[in-house]
Amino acid sequence: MSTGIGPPPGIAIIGAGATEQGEIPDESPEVIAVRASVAALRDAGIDKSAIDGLITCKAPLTTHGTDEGMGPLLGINPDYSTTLDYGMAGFSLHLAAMAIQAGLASTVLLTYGTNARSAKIGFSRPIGGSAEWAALAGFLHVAGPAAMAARRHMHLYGTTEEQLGWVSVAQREWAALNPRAVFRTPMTIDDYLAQPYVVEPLRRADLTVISDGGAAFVVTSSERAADLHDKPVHLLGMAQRSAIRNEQNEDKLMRPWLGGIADQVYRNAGLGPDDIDLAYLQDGTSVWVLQMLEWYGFCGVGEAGPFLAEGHTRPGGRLPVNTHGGQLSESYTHNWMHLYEAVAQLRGAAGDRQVPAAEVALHAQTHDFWKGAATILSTRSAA
Amino acid sequence: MSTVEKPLPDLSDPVTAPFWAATREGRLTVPRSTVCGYRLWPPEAVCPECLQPGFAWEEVEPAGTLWSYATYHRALDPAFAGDLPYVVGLVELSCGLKMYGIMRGDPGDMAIGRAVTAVFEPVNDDVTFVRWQLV
Ligand SMILES: [Zn+2]
Repeated sequence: MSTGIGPPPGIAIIGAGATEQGEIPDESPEVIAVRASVAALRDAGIDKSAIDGLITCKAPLTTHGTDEGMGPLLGINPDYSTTLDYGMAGFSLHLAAMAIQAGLASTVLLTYGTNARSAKIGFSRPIGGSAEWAALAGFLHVAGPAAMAARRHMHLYGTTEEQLGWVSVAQREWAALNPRAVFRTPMTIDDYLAQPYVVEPLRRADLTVISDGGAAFVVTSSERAADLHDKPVHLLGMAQRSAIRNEQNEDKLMRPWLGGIADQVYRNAGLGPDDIDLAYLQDGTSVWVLQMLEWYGFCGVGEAGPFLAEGHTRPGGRLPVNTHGGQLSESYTHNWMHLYEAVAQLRGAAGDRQVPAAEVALHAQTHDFWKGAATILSTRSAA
Repeated sequence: MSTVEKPLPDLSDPVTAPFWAATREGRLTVPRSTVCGYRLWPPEAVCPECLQPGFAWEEVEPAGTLWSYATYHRALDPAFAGDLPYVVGLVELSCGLKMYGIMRGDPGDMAIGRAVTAVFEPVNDDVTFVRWQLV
């Protein structure tokens, strides 16, 4: 087990950009990523000529969005460039930090764009190394294993469908305050419970929307950031852990290894769950949020059901979660928009949904059952 | 019924062919490393413990308990549209390994911890699937 990367990394986000989310029928993923990049560079107040590192994220289940595909559109020859296949903001952000710490680059642009909705890229297929076995059993879509994990949680801890429903209902309440969100129509817990099952015990609202959209960030050293932006967002800690032995792991579906990421990121930041003002928990399914609330220490293991039902994650609650609506209501962009929202909230620029005096955010993501990453972010440069 | 064919296993894959040969005979088998004795599911091309190829296929009791399950109410794969609602179980075998499989019986009867047993269902001359039912 890694003991972590040690002291605060001295890395900051100085630019954040996003396109509209939902449907962008006439643009390629690359063009969407360029538009997000333009917004991020403008926010950072720098020209593309200042970029000497590029990290792109391939759109899921496509060949779109490689660094070599993006270079000609962005018109840059960065010293360092690479592409993450399963992408996602957290892994990309950590890679950018490492590139800067290693001296490979000083100012890194991260981009992601997808037209998954317009291109009708679905997720109704088995995923992962044991995919053929799953396909033979009709075990399709991430909803299957997520439903199994939820069922197991209900069995072990008495969690109810209504308690789980508060993940989606709370996020819909946040989405109603977010003009960018795809799903903004109000949804009560009764509305939720009235929805038919997709994969029981999960309903439509427990599963992410497939959408088009892009996001981009500019990352540099905290030292340089102070000269470039009046409100840089610093990385106070980062951690990753994998479970890539997949089915061979003792308890694949319940993901207890997430607790190791939590321990590491809190230790690196010198902070604990009580210090977190905002949580961004990747929500391809609502079950991920249920699990991460527990493994990241916001409640005890097995206690996320009551925690959710008590309303802590809702607007006005003591732990606002996914204040943009998350992937369940805002859009599905591989958790890039979670990072975008975290930056907006920490800068006090989140409009109607701004959480007062929010200073420390946890950005936690998982790549399904295989790996996870967490970052603690703040406008303060030290804990 | 669905007009889309259900997926079938690739019987030419040497990593998994012994499993399908055994199911044709109504036997449930799992691979065990001939070097270190590690038993795993699903099969892989090398043993993940000793990193050597070479497995012997060992017959195991076709029984276990239901560790968890998911009930499909929507055909996320059109090939399974005619089966709705259907239940996929994660079965913890008596030998400790876990296997996914379609459950037979009334979806409403499923419960975690219940004993299950394998059902061998031929779909053609070459392929026999393993499904599961409550005991
Ligand atoms: Zn071995």
